[in-house]
Amino acid sequence: MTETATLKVGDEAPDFELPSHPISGDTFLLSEHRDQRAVVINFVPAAFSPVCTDQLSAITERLADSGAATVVISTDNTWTLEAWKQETGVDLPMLSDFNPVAATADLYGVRLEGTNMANRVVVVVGRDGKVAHIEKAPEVVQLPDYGPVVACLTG
Amino acid sequence: MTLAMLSVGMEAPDFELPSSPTGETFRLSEQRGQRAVVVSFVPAAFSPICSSQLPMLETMQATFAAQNAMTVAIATDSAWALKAWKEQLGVSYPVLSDFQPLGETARNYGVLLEQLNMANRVVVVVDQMGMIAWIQAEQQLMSNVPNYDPIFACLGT
Repeated sequence: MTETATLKVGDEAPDFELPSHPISGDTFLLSEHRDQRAVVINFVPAAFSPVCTDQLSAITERLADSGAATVVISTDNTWTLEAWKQETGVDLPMLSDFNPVAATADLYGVRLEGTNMANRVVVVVGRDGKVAHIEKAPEVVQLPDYGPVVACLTG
Repeated sequence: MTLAMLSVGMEAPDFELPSSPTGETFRLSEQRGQRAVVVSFVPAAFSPICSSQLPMLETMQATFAAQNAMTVAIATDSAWALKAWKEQLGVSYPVLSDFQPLGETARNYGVLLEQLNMANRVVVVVDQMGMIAWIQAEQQLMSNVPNYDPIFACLGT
């Protein structure tokens, strides 16, 4: 899988700025990382769902030493994402694509059709700000294969 | 008390919303002729005020039951988030997901904060006939837990 509904490898990654915390006002701005590091964007459907929770472990395990900035995006509210982060103990930016709902998922062409949730898709943005890899889960209830993602980051 | 769309004495807009991530739903009109329903709209799962309001409501369950009323809470969060929140708080009554389409029920009740995609903190009492019997909207809706005392009084009459 090398493309989404709106993007393919080599395209400029659409910029976004999303809240990473319910109170502090902290946000994550993709373009701040340009020329610094690659960014691995993990779109997931729903905080606290079993598969998404398993995926956080996989992300931590596979990408911890990658040197990339790794973020998780779902259409949950910031309060829910903060609670999920605390419950799982995962120390990654969890970005809230809740308001307007799924706006960033739509930019990236990964909305789960007919829902307000993102599909389970990993997008690697290279240091040059371009889409370097797209890895879609075979089914929404399955984890994406992080092998090619890691290969892309180390290749 | 009136909201943009609702006033006491009107028929309550019906809704059917998921009460779990695995397909169970709650339909307001199914309670008609059976019991009153105290509907508490809350802005956000896992936020501090909402997380004190729901356990407070839990402690009132027996009192509501004695008045032939049940309670439900509604938030614009996904059913997975609400399930986790309920479990964390130890809440037994239905907590309903107004996520898909986002905020539709809150909008039908005139309590959606459109700029935030969240419901305002409003309690609506629907009587056994399906009519709006009481609307409790606090002065500072985002900062206060509602006072349920007038609601008990309303159910008692």
